[in-house]
Amino acid sequence: MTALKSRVASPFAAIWVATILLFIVSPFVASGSLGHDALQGMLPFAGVLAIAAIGQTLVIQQGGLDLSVPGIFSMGAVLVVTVPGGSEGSLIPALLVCALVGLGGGLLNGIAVTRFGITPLVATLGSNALFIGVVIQATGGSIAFKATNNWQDFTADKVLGIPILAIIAVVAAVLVALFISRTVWGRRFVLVGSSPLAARAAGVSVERYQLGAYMGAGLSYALAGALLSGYLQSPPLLPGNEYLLPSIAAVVLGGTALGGGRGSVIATAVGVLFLSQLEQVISALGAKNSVDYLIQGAIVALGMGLRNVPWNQILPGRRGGDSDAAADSSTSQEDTASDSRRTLLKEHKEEESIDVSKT
Amino acid sequence: MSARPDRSRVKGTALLVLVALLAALVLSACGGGGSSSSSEATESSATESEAETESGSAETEEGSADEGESQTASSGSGEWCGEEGVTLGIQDGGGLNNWSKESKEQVQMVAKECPAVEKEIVVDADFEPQKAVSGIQSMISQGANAIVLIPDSGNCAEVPAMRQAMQRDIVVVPWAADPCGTEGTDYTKYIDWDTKAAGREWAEWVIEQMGGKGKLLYEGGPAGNTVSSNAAEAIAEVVEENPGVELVEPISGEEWPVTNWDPAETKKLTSAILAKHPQIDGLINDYGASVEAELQAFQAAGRKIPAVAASESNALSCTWKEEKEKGNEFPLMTISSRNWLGRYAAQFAIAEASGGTPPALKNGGIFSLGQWENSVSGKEPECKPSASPEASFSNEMTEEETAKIALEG
Repeated sequence: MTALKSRVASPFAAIWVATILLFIVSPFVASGSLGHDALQGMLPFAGVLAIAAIGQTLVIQQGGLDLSVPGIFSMGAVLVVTVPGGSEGSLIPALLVCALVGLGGGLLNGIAVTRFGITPLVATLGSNALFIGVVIQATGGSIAFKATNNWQDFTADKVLGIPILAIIAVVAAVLVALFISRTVWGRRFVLVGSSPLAARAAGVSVERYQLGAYMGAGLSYALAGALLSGYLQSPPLLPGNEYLLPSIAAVVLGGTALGGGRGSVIATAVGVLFLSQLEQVISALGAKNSVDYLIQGAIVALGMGLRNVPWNQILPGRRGGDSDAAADSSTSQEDTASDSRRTLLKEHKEEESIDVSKT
Repeated sequence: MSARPDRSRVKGTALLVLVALLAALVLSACGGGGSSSSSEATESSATESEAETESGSAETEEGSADEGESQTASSGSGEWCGEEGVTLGIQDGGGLNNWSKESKEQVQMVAKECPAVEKEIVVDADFEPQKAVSGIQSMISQGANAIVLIPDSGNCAEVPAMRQAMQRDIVVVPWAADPCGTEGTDYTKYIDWDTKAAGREWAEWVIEQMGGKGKLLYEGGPAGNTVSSNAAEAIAEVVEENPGVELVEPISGEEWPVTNWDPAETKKLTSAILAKHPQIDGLINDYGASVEAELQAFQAAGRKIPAVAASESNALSCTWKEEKEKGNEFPLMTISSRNWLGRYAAQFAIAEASGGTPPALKNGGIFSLGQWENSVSGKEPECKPSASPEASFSNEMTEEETAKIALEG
């Protein structure tokens, strides 16, 4: 019962509730927005966005923000098409090159942030310009090839009627979530994001974990770009431009704290589903393009804003008297944060002692 | 104490440079040529692009769009090329797609034919009005005496800068997008296709294929652009003249389903429209390269591709050919993607600046291009797997062929 209560009170629960409500309401608000064809059209794009957003979650969980999504995403999209040049046999090397470039791009961001102490916002904004410049320079302004036939077929494939891109996204989200919650590295990763100082004091190499977050993110953007290329067959030059804001919005809607620490890739994936279905409903309503942007912007702002409302002060009877509410709410938040840090530290120390006993 | 941080900093810097170099090398090795800011750079990029096509594809013998262009390039200069020296400014309001690349190549091809052109200044504005305005101002300050530009960075954004150039006696020739100003004050000559005529051509042909009844879908580019706006207006007029035809989504000069000329947006938009409408009998799209994504959405939804009217694109023609071979042929009509109009824009600007004779353009420089390909009667769509998916083969037209459309007499 306590476990259920804590799950409902979890910051990641809100996006589940909102998404379920949206899917229930969809057919009543806009007929055809929840039909088979609508879902088949929406899920592949949602899958690509979710893969990119998983990377963004890792970075935000480390207190960073990655604005290099368009650049690395576009590099992945272009490489998977240009490296094979239409030859199906070269697909695997092309995917490996994509992965390496994604990791390399992430490494560059990570070094700029951890070694040179450049603010993530500035570092990734600058590196994004560099990556976009490389894409334009390398292609000369247009892509001369289509994706190889086997890559087109793979990305358009379905398993039990579900688009493979959506399945890949779900598998990736589950694997990353398990890695974070069930491995020593994962727990240390959360500790570093939650409190780098405490982590450093506990002997954890903070830089290594932050660097890992950026590299993982780079890998996810490049692979998302490569998958989109296959699905579109002839990708545009800079397809990543459309994925920066939605990737951040999905992470924040999912409940990952912008300051770092608390985060959930599963909740981010649900956030992506929410955003994609919202777009589908608005489109099915036949709203004008401008209205479409307005509604989406308002709902995302509302979703993010509601998290910062001091509910303890507003709702009566939630916590003590009115006069002490403000102080209570702020101290309670701090308490919760420091509690979670303490727990993480304790876990970390236990792991250390186990390691020592083993040796 | 100080030695360790220094060493790690040096290591970090070395790593940073290494990663940047690796990324640049990998992409440069895989990609084609480079976008340019000078004529020399563009020349080398075109050569690289051709080399890449040759090495990257098994079917190089058929030749690429670039090769075709270089054949037409050797036609030699005419009376339009005078003797006074020309510094030619070339600007594109966008610049980051194949359409822009081919447009630039057409202008530069002509510029190379005239020995009077001493220098080229190339600016791509990436759809940023501020960049477009500062680009024109930079050309003025660098001594350009002729400017050829596609004024589509924003809604009439280039007018003040064009006027500024005119006040300095610089020849200004906007083309391929409505410049919004007045001839003589804001620019010297505007050269373009007639977008309303194109809209009518597309709509009349598709409705004919639909047997005069059914549901018609039009998808256009970014909100507010004049090409889609004029086409939408003309299509809406033709639909009104045909009471048996209904528009799937409402369109007017201000509103239409927006693809942003982007394949991903087009595919998403079309999937959503297909989910809402079980019957669609005809398609019109003003950007050939995004029609491929539109047709993919039809195929993914298991729907039959209806009659299609669009601007030309290699990928679209190849899809048509593939479907035909599978026995699913659909009627297709295209209009030229009109990059070759850049040749006349460049000739006009160079003639005015160098003391040559400007070409005698039909209809004041606004042309009705007519049909380029028509699978039902006349010219079969042309597919070249070795060329870029977005290649436009009307740019391979010879001088005689383009003269029939554009020149008097």
